[in-house]
Amino acid sequence: MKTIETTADETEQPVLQVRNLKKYYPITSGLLNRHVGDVRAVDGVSFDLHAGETLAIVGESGCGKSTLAETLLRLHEPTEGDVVYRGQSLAELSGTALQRIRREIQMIFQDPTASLNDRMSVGRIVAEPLRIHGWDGDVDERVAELLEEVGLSPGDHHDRFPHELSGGQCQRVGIARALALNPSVLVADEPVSALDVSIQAQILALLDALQDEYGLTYVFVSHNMSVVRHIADRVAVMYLGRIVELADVETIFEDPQHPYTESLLSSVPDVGTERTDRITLHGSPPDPIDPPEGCNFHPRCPLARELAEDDRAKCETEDPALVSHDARDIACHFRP
Amino acid sequence: MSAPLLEVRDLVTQFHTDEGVVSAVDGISYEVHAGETVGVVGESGSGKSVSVRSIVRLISSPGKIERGEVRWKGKNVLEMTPRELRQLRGNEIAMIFQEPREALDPAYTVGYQIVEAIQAHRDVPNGEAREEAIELLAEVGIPNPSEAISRYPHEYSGGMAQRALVAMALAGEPELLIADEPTTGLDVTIQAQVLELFARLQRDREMALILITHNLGVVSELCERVIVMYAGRIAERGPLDRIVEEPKHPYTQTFLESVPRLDNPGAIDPIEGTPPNLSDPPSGCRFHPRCPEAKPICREQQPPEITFEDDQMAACYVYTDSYHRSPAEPTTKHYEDD
Repeated sequence: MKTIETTADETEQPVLQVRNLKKYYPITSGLLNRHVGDVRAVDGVSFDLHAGETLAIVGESGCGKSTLAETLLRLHEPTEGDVVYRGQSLAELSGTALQRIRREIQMIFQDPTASLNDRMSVGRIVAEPLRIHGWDGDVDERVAELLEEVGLSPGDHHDRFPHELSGGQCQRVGIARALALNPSVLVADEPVSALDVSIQAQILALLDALQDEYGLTYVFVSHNMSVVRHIADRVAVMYLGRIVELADVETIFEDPQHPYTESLLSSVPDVGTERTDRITLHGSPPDPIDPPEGCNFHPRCPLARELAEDDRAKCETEDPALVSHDARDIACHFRP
Repeated sequence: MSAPLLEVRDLVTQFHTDEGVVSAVDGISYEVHAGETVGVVGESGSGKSVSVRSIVRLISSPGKIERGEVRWKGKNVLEMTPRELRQLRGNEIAMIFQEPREALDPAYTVGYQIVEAIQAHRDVPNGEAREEAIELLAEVGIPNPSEAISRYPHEYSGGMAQRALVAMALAGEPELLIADEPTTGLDVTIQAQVLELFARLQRDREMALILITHNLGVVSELCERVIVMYAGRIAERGPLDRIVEEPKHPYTQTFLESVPRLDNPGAIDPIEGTPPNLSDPPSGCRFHPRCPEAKPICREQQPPEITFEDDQMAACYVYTDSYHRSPAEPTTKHYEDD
């Protein structure tokens, strides 16, 4: 387990405070583009992000984890709610003030080749944020330093183009670019999903080393529970635009309480473990345009199925709020 | 042991590209017995898909099966006439692929496509074929099959589409099902459903299964035996528990250590470097530039196949006398980065 070293001041104030964040995509219909409904991609998400920690956001496709990551950086304008960076509300900012805070929160993308401009050399790609935000020092020197930092050779790779590099090398370039402005938070959206296993391990080791060296704070979006177990300090499990359970990594993996977390974990095929306790979910996640009444998860919930009729009616009609129990936040009427 | 269903001997498949000859599969041999489940694992470019597609000769230009033998119940597949090959594909050996929705024709209903698959193999009247299609959809766990049969592929989710493809593959009542990354791209809870389906079908139908995947977890769920491929060759093969608990080949060992696992949240140990470019593969053992155990002897010749108990095999010099007599690597190795 990693230990998080924080000064007293930092423990008092989280780096990021996410408050009831919502991102809806309107659905329009007809000639007049009448507003007929919303895709509730992110539907009221709140959490604190502490300095030096890695918070993983996990869930299946369509649960809103990527939209959440992008809304944190204000790549999307939130429908409602706010993100507060070190006490400063991002919703109140615009122009240069917003740009200044954007230097502090950087992103690494899933598809390492698609997220790099193929017409630019590696050197130019890494230098670009330095030019845009106005770097005080020597840009060439900084680029060489960054390439070295992510395990590329400034001599060899500086003048190459993305198509000449492997997937793993491209992801290293993406990381160098994200680090260019000395950010304090890195939001990584499935950064190793497109890579081969042996390369995945190299990139995870690099992210670990960079965090130790610079005290970086990570938001790590992933569908891969094994990777999350390895890299995260805390885990937020999302289902249909909401957090259903949030706790430290040990608690989530050793003692999951939300029925969705439980079945998600038991679905992961793992090397060398005999699965006798698999909880197979029926059906697929529902449509976020028309989420189920009551608890979002109830139509697939193995726990709800076993409840007495009166109790089940509660799941079908009442929406459970995310509440704290000991060191865990959970949204379930009957757990813990 | 009875005669194997499928025997592959010294198979070589190459791609003739502008940049030269790519030896995608370079002399592999293995057997599959009736009712057995075999996992073929490896990273991209290890030749796992090409080696299995070569079995049913699904290799198109610029690829070519250069030499070797593929025997299905004793008969050489590489010498079959187009007619015999059609009979083999689908009827005796069926295949399903990754990206299930791309394998279905969006212009026709799922039912139409399954009926077509049934009638391609057997002379069954329309009504009867439709009944059979509904039964197949029910068998693969599609809810409300008599209605689902008239739906179009875009109305199916990824997991449902993969089930429909499995139904189609079952139409010919194959004795061997080849599944190429069948759950890659599916969500874990859906993947678990599809894996359970495979386990059930394999049990009920006593069908042999070759599962190609990069995911060792998926192999652990389903397979009795595992073939580990690296750069177009078999690095190691053997029973699942032997491969997982006592891997003999340094590639298998480092590969297992580099995979983040639920039961082992501790440090992972990445393999340095990247898999080689197969248009110019390393000499000798193709893993030697990345191998922690490599000695000069490993650069010289292809390593011998060493057999251990329980039919475990590793192609590695470490288990030979000549390796131990050979001097250690004189200089520190320089890794190609990443």
